[in-house]
Amino acid sequence: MADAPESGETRVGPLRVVADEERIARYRRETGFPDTLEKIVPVAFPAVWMTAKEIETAIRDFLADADVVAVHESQSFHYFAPLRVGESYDLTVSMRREAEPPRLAVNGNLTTIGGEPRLHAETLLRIVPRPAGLGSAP
Amino acid sequence: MSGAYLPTVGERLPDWRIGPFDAAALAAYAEASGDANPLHLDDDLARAIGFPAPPVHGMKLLAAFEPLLSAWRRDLFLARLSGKFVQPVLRGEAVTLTARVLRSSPQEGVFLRLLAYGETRAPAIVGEALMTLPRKFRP
Repeated sequence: MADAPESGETRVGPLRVVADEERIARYRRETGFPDTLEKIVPVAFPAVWMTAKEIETAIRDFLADADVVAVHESQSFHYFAPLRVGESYDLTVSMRREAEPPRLAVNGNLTTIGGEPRLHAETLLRIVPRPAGLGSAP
Repeated sequence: MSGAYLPTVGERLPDWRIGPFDAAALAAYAEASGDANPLHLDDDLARAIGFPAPPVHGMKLLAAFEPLLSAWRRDLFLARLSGKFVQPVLRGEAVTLTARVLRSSPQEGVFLRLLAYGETRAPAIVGEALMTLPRKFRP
C-alpha cells in the first residue's frame, strides 16, 4: 500500500484502525494506568497502530540499502479531538528521509471515517550505523 | 478556561515513581504495544550494543506520563504529549517522572515540561504536554 510521490515522501494508507477495547485495556495496564473501568483511549495508544506491518515494511524499505539501524529519537501526539473506544479511524502515514542529521520522519494523520481530523503524530527515527556485533539487516 | 482553577506557573507535580521493570514487564509491554524490537528483550543483543541490560521501551515511559497528569487534574484533557528520548533507562532501574507548569492561561491551556529519569538521575525523556478544558477540545 506504500507509494512514493516525486517529493521523495512515501505514503502508506489510509489504513483502517480500530480503538479496540480489549487491546486498549492491555495497553493501559502496561503503561501504568490505574485498574479502573474507564473507557478512555490513552493519548499514546496510536503508537500501537504505527507498528502495522505496512508501516514497518515501508520503514524497512527506506533503510534497505544502508547498513544502518533506526533509533527512536522523539515522539509527539497532537490531538484535535479525543478518540473513542470502539470507534474506527483512518490512519495515513507519510515518511521522508532527512539528511543532516540522518533521520527518518514518520508522520501519522488520523481521521474519523468521515474525514474529520483527530490526531497528528510525529515519530523521528535517528539513522545510525549498525553497531558491530549486531549482525546484518534482516 | 473561565470558571476552572488554573495552576500557577512554576507549580511542580508530585514526583511519580514507576518500575523497576523486569523482563516479564518488558515482554508484556512489547506484546501489548506491538513493538517487537528485540533490543528490549534480548540480553545478548543489548550487550552487543554496549548496554549492560536491555533498555526499557521509551514509549512505555512516555505513555506513563498520562496517568500522572490525569491524576493531577482530572478536569483537563491531555491534548498534546511529546518527548525526546535522550538516554535509555535500563531494565531493573526505577524511574521517576516529574512535571512542572511552564505556562497557564485561559486561552492556551496549561503547558507543562516533563522529565523522566532513572537511577543515575540523568534525563531519559525530556518532554512537553498541553492540557486543556474539554470544551476547548471538542470538534
